[in-house]
Amino acid sequence: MTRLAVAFTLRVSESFSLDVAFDADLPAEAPVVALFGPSGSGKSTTIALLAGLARPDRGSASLGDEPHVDVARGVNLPPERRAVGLVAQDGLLFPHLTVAGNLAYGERRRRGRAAPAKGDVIDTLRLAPLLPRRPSTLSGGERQRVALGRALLSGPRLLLLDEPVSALDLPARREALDFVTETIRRFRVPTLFVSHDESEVLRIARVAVRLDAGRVVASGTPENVLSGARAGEGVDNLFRAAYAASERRDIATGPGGSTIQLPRAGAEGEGVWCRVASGAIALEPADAAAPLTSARNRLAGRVVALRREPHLVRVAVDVGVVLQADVTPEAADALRLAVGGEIRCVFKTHSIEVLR
Amino acid sequence: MLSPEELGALLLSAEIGLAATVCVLPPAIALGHVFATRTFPGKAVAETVLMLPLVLPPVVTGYLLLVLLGRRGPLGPALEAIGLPVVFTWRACVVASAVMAFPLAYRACRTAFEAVDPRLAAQARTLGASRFDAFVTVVLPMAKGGVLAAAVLAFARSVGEFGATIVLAGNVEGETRTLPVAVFSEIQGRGPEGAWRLAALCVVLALGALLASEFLARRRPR
Repeated sequence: MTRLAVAFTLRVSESFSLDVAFDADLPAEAPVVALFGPSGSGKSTTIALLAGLARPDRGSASLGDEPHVDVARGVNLPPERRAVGLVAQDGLLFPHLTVAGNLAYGERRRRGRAAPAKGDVIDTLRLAPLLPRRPSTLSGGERQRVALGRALLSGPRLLLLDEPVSALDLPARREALDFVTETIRRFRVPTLFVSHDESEVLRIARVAVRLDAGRVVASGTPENVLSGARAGEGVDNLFRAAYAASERRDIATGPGGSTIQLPRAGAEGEGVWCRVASGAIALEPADAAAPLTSARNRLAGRVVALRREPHLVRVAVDVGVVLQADVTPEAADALRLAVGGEIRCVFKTHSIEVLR
Repeated sequence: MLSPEELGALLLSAEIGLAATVCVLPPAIALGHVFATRTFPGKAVAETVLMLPLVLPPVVTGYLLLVLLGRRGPLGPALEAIGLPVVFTWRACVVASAVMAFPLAYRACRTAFEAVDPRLAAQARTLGASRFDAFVTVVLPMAKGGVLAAAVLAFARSVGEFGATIVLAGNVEGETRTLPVAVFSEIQGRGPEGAWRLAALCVVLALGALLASEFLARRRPR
């Protein structure tokens, strides 16, 4: 188990200051924390501070029991002594070296630190056919694989993946993300994965930290952190669904074993994340008769929490996962909602956003 | 063909050009990199001072060097004491050429370093390279074309140097009579024929150097 503890501030410009604090435990079996946020939220600055490429005005950062920077105590390890493997959005391979030369660069400078076996890294990331080539002849996905391999061979105690797949087109992105997932699973290197893409975060991390305007606004499980990711009054519900064995390719098994219809077809057994806004979920009594509306999805559950606000009641319903539904106070009264009562969540197929 | 004196002048110019280039390149690289990658107070003023020999009349530069390195100057006695007198020796040619060539070499190096993505050096640091290591193994190879072009420019400028050289080094055959000084002597002495041959030689050398530096500066690592 490695603990990443961060609490630092940096005034970047007149209008932007970073003030980031979070702790993350990175156990070997699930060593990824995701740093999530829109562009301009301070993710890259945080990465630069963690890599030692910038210096905070105040605060500290440590990995395990080793302080990397502690302004008050005058500690500031230079980047080459932090053992953080940085993979940038565009890979930043050295253009004057071949792929083999790029891989050897970090390997030769790892100062006796343990690193995965070179053959293993080359196999896992399928780099063997690329070794004699120059970076300029590689595709975007190949470049990112080389960059990841190069970082691994430098013997990192922490991998910093700064939007490592976001410069790629969609098919290449999925493939590259598979490589990232497989690499982390296999080599178990503590990793900070930076992304502005919710589906990436859900897929790769067990812990997420959400940044906005230079501040941490949420941290915890990715589902919880991303639920509040939209601005405005509503919150987003996220749940897993798996495409079922059905002639219709859009039927899936949802929370609590329910059957739901998704707006997109998928292959049998394929798991996806689904997002439904709290405002898109209607409630109906558990004993209501056959559906009279066009909404296809009806999930039975039990009310676990009610929060009354001036113009809405936010109802948390356990349907296998907890879904939040926003209804008017009048509707809540008419339905006689109470904690523990049975209720059904109803939402249209086309109110679901499928995240892959 | 060239007379022995003319050949001597050509060879002396080549040697001095080479020596001046070797002297000028390390500070041009170091300062070119610093000015390309750092910001600090007084940077514009410092850069103006570095570029001064380019715009100052060469005779004035030569005179300032003479005052500095001459027998009564602040550095002259010390240099004589260690057996390295400068004024009116071949060393004076090297010093004058190097000072005159510095701004060109510095400017070419700075331009070359500015074209290197600074994130590459940062990336090298995260892979375990010290600042110097990253510079030598990543930045310098990336800027290689520009730095070689700077060397060729410095060499060409040194070979062509006259104004500061004549003041600091004089016109001693076999010791300080470089190609341009020899052209000057021919014009003053024997007349146009010898001057023509040497002048043509200068034109060929200068053209070759400029072409080489253009070619090198355009070359980028693949």
